[in-house]
Amino acid sequence: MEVDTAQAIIRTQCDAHDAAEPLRRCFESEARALLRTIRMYVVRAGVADGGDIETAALEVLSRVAIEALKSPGKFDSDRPPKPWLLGIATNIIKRMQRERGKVYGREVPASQLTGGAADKGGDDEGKFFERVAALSTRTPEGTVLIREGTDELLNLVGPDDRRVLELAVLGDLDGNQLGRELGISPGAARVRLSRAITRLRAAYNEREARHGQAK
Amino acid sequence: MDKRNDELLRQSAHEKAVHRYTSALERGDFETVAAVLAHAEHDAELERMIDEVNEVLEAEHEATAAEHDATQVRALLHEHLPSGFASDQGEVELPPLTIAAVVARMSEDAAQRGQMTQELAILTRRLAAESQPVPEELSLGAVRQLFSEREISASAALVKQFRATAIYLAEGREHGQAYQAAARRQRELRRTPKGTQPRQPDAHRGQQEDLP
Repeated sequence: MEVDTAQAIIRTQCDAHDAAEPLRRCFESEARALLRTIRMYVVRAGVADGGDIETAALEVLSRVAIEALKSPGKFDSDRPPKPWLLGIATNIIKRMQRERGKVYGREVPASQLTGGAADKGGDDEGKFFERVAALSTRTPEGTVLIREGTDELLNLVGPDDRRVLELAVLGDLDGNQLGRELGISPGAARVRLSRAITRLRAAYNEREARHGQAK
Repeated sequence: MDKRNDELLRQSAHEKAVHRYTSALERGDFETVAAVLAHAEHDAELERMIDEVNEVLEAEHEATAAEHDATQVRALLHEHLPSGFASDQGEVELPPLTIAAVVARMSEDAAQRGQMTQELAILTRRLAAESQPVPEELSLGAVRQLFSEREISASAALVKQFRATAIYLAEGREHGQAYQAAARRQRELRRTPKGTQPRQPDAHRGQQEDLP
């Protein structure tokens, strides 16, 4: 049912804009996957809830098709099309977030609820990732040298997060290896690692704030 | 060696990008999501990794949505079909087993087997409106006393038959109550969100509150 709706939306927009065949084919083959991802984006962005999620997702999908068909020159059949189309979706969702913000008034940014101070384009999140990744260096013999303070830092999170962080950071495992070690898919392993790092960062910021107050 | 280092750096950059993407999605930061997707447009490996993460997050959302739907359906059923659910107000108390219920059952059983006797028919008539509960202790002496108090003369066989029927009915009711209690415990476990303790029986609640 939902696939039919997604494909019908795409087909209508392609017909209306006389879409070139490669772009039409790309759209039609990606319709289902796009709608599924957009639905998740809509929920994460907080622009709809409950029964409005499906309507909002279909609306975004329709607008993605219109935007993409307005500038078909930007479509490069040699490159993966999905990130390009999802990029358009994120721009539409950002606009929806702003519109919703105006309607519902000023709200606390979601970033402040999870990771302490608000990020500038997620840069802080990336920097913290680098900081955690730098806790370990692997010698040519494969010996892991654990830097001072690692234990203290990892003690800030629960045992499950600590295990994931130890495997990924101290054990130098990438997402695929981490997934194998934990018996889950690489995607699930990366999500778990990301959440562990976010919680570690929040705990670290909280500890630093407490120390700051104590001084 | 340089090639190996380049590979490690590239892999680390991918892992970092995926972390930025995932954590940005978690906090609704679509500026960062867009920035990482722009990189993925030129990087098939990063695109694949993002696809895998999307798959996990989509499945999580769908599981949450399904649970939400199920909760709504349960709430609607509770609202519109309350008779389909056992009462949530503690144990369902059955009315006590009465003398009349026992003789009615004796009479039914005998009629079905074609063994209705005059003595049983008289007993049934005499006690058909007897709403007193049967004694808790169902000994032969207690049954004889019950008949004697009502000035009923019954044969030893009829006294035995009354006792056996009363015990059979009482046990059936106990089993029914135990089944209902077990079913209620299962429902409570299903309703209890993960990570929280199921509701404690009153007898244990006081003890828990006393704990440090």
